[in-house]
Amino acid sequence: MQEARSPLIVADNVDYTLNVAGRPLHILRKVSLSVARSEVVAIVGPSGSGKTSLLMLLAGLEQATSGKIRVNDHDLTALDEDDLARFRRRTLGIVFQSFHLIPSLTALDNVGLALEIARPELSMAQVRERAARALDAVGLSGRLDHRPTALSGGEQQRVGLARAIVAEPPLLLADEPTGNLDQKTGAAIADLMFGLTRDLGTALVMITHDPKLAARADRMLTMTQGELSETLVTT
Amino acid sequence: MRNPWPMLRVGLLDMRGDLRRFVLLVVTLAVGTALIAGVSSVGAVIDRAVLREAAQLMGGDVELSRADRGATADEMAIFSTFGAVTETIDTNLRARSDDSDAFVDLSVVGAGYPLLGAIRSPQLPPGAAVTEFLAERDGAYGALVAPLMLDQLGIDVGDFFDLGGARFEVRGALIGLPDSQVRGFRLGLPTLITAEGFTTVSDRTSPLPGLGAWFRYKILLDGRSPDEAKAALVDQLAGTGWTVRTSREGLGEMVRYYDLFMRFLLIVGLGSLLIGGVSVWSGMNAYIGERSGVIAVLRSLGATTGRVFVHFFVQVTALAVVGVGIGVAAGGLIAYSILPTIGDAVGIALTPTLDARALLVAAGAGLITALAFAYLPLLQAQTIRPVELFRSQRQALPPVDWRQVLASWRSVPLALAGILFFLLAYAMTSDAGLVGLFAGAAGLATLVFEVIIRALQWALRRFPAGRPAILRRALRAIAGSAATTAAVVVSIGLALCMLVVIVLLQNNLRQEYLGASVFDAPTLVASDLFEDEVDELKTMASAGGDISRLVVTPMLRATLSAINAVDIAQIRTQGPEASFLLGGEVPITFRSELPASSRVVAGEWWPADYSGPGLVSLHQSLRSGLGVELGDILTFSAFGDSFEARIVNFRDYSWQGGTDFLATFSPGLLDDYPSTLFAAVTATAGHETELERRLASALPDIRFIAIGDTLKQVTQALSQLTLAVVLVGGLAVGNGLLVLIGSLAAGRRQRQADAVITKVLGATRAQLLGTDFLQFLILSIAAALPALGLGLGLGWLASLMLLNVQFSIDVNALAFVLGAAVLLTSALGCITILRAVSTRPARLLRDL
Repeated sequence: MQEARSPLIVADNVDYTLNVAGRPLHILRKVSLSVARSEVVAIVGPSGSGKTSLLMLLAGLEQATSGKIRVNDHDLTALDEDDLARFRRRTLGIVFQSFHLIPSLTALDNVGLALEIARPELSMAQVRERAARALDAVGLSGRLDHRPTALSGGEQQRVGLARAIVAEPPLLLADEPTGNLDQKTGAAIADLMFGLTRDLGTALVMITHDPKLAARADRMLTMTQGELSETLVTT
Repeated sequence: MRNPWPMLRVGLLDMRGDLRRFVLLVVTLAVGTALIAGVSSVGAVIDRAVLREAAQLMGGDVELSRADRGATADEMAIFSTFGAVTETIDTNLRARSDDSDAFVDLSVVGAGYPLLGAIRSPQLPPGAAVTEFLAERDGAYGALVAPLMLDQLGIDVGDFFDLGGARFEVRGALIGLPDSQVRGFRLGLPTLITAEGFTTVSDRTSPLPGLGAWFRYKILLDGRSPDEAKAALVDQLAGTGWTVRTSREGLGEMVRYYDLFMRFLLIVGLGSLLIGGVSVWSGMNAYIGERSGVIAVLRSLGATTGRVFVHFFVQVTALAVVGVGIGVAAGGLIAYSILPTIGDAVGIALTPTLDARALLVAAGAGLITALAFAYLPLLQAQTIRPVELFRSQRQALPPVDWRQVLASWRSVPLALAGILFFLLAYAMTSDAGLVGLFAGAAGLATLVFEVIIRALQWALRRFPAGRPAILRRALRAIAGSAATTAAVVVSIGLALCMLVVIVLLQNNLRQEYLGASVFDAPTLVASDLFEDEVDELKTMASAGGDISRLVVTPMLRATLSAINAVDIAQIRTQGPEASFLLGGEVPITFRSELPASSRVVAGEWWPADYSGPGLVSLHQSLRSGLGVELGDILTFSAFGDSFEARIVNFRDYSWQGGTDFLATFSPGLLDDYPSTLFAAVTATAGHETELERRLASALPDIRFIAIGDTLKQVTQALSQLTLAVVLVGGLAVGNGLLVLIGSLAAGRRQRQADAVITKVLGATRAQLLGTDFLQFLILSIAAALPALGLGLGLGWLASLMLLNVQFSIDVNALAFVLGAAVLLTSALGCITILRAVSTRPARLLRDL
């Protein structure tokens, strides 16, 4: 059971530098990180400290300037754009602060789309059935045919959550998942997210400004000016 | 292979929502396709009808003709080796009854006539040989006579009349000749007699100058194709002066106008295809730019670049199928319903039919246009990365990285689309030169617009920020969004360029038709008048009343004896005009000024006060007909004298050929010879009959010939074609304006977002609208100026090389269309942000 014991995410000495107006802008400096399978990690820190950039690198959406990133045994620095897309569909789901649902599709189709991309071998009926089950799991069984504009912010984020976990990926990345929601709705979403990842054995890396939410993670990391440090979680 | 249906389904589902965003794209595709479908259908049906009916219309597969003489026995023997031959002679004579006279369009027919079709006459028994029906009885040959002439002469079937000194019996009414279409627009009232009867006509002098006899021999081929037979006849009769025409060529002058019209339609079709493509390009650019969020979501979910391509390819295909489907249906239906009208205009009976091949070509052209022009935006869609979901989203596509595209396999579909596009355009036009010219012009135009907008942006970035603020903001907006601005200018520029070309060609073609028409045609003409008779006419004209115009021209008769000192016996002629000029005494005239109905096509007209050595102006057909050029010397003889004149110009007077002179001399050379006068009298509208009666009573010795009605038929046919040109041109201009509207879609979201934020910052609606208006006014003008230059150049090339019509510029029409397009673009530029500035910003801020 080598796989079960190896970390899901290993980032080693990762630098991320942008060239802005001809000058280098160091976003991340010598960041190293290891996340175990099924582990829940929260990343906190001030705006502009590099949290989202780290999440983008872990999702394979950006390329590190130097250093190595391995996720689920994939070396992200060695993959091209389409390989990265295939990596994402099998390995991770993303929950966005602004939900980012496709407005022209119903809740069922938004969720089904992710599954249909990740599991092309499934039939349409299977895709719809599993998408409906995922929406049921987030409490939206009565809203399957609603389009995003007919859903509240909390409901949209539930759809976003169902979309992220419908293919049962080993990793869930969440970028301030409650940032656009009120406290009560945010708490409900957080409960759902933690419950689902626990049930599915999915690791969760979450960016948040909410100390209460961060405190629910197994580990909390703090990003300050592109440098990552571990913070002791007290429960 | 994985099941593609889910991909297609999601792509199609993603089109739901505000369908209005697709309307312009679908409409421009539909209009472009409809134009092509209509043009191709009409063209195909006419071509088939021409091929099928040409022989029927000509009354044979091949026709040989000349003006000076009939065929010799040897020549007849040659003709006969090709098939059945029949002879006809077309000429004009004067007919007289006891009370009246008439100007006759005489058809003289030989044995075997008609080889195809039938003469329409109620009295001629079906299947009867006309030569037998009109054979001599009781010392008089028979004639079939137009009912109008029977009225004019005051006679009836069974009565007798005089024709050129011979007595003929009216055996029946002549309703129609089977080959009347290929005889062109003849002056006079139709009458048919036999060749045998014609031998009794002693006075064969034409009542009008410039009109002579035409000897025609029609052959019904026994197996050979008309083109093969023509080549063989030309070869065997080389140098004998015969003009050989196939049945297709024999359809006459009107077919040239029809061909011109078809060429114009093809240019319009290609132009519509091009600007429809530009519309697709700008529409898809804007649409995919606005959908970058969806693309990023798809990519974040693990969709490959190929999947993103398929997602939008499905949408483009769906839109193209709808637009092209509507276009094919509309074009087919329009063609179906207007075919009879077009048939009337070009003189061929056209049965309403749908031409499957033409419709398929149009559908193919529309689909390939849509997909080829959408390909680049689809490629650019693949460059959108999911990382944008974490940052502020773009509202427009990034510029194309041409180096990357050209260096990869992605350039293959682009090249393939280009080749397919070329092949389809070639299938439409069968003219690689025309398609090549279009492709080159489109490429050049795109390059010019790109360079101009880059230069403009470069200059604006260095432009000192001054006042007023509204101008400053407009200039900043132009300089700021490089890709969007370039897309807007290129599409506006190409659309305007096409508008300029269409307006120019439409005008030039209209001029050609109107020039050939005779709206101010004289009602009556008379030749060989004396001074006192003309004075009488002038007195009547100056009194006003029913004469609106009187034109008097001196005329005398002379014989062309040599060209560049070479005797005319050694000159080989080509065409009827040349044969006529060499056929003996011909009417000539001298003038100081070019008549309004003529135009010089080569050389210069002489100054009004010219009094030097003799100069002559010839009808342009004589240039090739006699093989002469400017500067050549013609020797004429009249009244026992010889005189020389140098050719200084060639002129065209198209349909006025019947009432003008093939050779016109400069003043001075002929002034001292005794001449008579030729008078053309135009009646005030509605007083034609009254004037004819009054002239007959005032000048009983003069025979006035009514020619107005015949020329009106020409004018009517050409008016129908002119109307068709204007309608088609108008439709193309409308399509161009739609493209202009579509081009504004590029960057619309970004402008709306900017407007909302600027409004929040305190800008008034007037300031926001004013800034946008100014921005698009500057962009439109920046596009319009090079578009005008390019359009003028292309219009000039197309007029002279493709249509072969005179190039002229209708400044007013151009200024109106360009001005309206620029103002429309500027106004619509404002309207795209109207919602953003009219709604409370809070609502829209949530959507940003």
